[in-house]
Amino acid sequence: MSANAITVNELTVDYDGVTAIEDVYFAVRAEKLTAIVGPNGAGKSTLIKALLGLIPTRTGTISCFATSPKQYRKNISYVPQRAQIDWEFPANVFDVVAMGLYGELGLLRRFSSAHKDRVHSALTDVDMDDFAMRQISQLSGGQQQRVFLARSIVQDAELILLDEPFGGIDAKSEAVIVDILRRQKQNGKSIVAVHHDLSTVKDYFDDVILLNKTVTAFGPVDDVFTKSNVEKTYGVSNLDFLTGRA
Amino acid sequence: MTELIGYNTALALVGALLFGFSSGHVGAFVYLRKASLLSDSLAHATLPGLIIGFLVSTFLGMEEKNSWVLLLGAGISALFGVVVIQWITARTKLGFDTAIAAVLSVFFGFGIVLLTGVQSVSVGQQAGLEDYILGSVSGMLLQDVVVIGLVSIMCSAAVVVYRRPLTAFIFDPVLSEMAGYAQHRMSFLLSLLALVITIIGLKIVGLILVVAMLTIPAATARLWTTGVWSMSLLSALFGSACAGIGVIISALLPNLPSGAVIVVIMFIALGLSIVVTHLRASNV
Repeated sequence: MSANAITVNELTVDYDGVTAIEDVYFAVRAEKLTAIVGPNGAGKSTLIKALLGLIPTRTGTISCFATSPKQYRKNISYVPQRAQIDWEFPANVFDVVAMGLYGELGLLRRFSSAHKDRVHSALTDVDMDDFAMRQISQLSGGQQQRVFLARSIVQDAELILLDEPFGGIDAKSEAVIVDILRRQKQNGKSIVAVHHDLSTVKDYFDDVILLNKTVTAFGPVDDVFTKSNVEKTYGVSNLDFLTGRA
Repeated sequence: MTELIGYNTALALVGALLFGFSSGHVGAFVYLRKASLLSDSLAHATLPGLIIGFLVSTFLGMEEKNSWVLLLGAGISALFGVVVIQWITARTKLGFDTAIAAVLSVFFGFGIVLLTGVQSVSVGQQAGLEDYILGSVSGMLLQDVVVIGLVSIMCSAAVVVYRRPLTAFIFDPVLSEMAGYAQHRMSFLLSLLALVITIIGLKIVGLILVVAMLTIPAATARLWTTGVWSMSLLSALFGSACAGIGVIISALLPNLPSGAVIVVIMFIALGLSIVVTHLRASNV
């Protein structure tokens, strides 16, 4: 039996003076691909921020491989939404992936050839090494996302948190990214992603957390991602076309 | 060199070269953080403190040119301005740009009121004050240059030491936070560097134009480079060269304020860079 990557109990978080998520509880299985799914304003981003330890929580506990996220920060890598990044920033693909090593390098340690090799190897993992010297402003959406995946690979964290990794990306790139995530899972990583497209939840993910301020259900997609649970989470009916047979 | 341009100008030149370097160096990060307007409002917010510092030093019977009391006042005043901006942004529905514009104009307006008051009461004594508004290197003393030089070197050293967390913080704040560099600490560090550069730059370029030192060399360097490290170095070199040339020209033509001359030279460098990089890009 595999351990849990994250266990959350009775978590309530206020954001901008409003209760964003309330009494949230779930467990994320290690070495699985887990989707966080819910309508706009359901508190998905707040949950991610809380999991990263970036915002204070009102009540509840988060344990991440049995330690608090604060202590465990070095073992979590985060892939932000592409829209939150200034892609005109003066950096090439190599520079961005190298930033994944800044925590490890500290202020003054030299960036050695071993570090350089690690950056190239991570870029090879996402099939972007040929683009190492390319300016990030000249990348497509899918390529940008792969660069960020390479950055989280170079961080070598046990847990990878992604905020809408497929947002604004074409179908081909989406398939490539799913493939990369699956390979990371096989390498023993636990992956949690905020996901919007209900029609692909069952194809891409092992587990799902259905969230709308509170958790409607969580667990393996085959058991939990049912028509009634999804309708309960979104507060609407007739979602058959999204959940398929269920 | 001293024989050619005179002892005073040589002193000012050394100060300007070092200050130009570090202001360009810090400015690259201020520019990337898109905090140029914040630095401008910080610079304008120095005026009331500057005048109050002048009044205090006069009241205490100090030398009227005791610039350190004035600069201390300027620093406190600018810090207060930043606190007000942050308070307005955090506690009211007004936007960041509104807060910046309000603080900039209100502090500067209040400063001008004080300045006018001082000028009408103690004619003659305020002679040194205008130097801080438009910049003047003519009366620069050895001790001024030593302090400006040392503080400039410290600012540049801080940029070198913190280049990785500052870069990560500006590009992706969550990454820097996860790597152990809290966002509020990095934001504070960058504001502090901008504040210190502003204060030591008052004498050379003056408070109205000091923001140009933090912005124009960085914008010029951005046109020529594709990485943060090369950009900040080139920005520092541009800043240093323009400040140096500006000081020499304003020494040769004594009626020109040094700050304005430096800014005009920086603008020429920026204009040429825009034209050349544009032509180069359309040729490729």
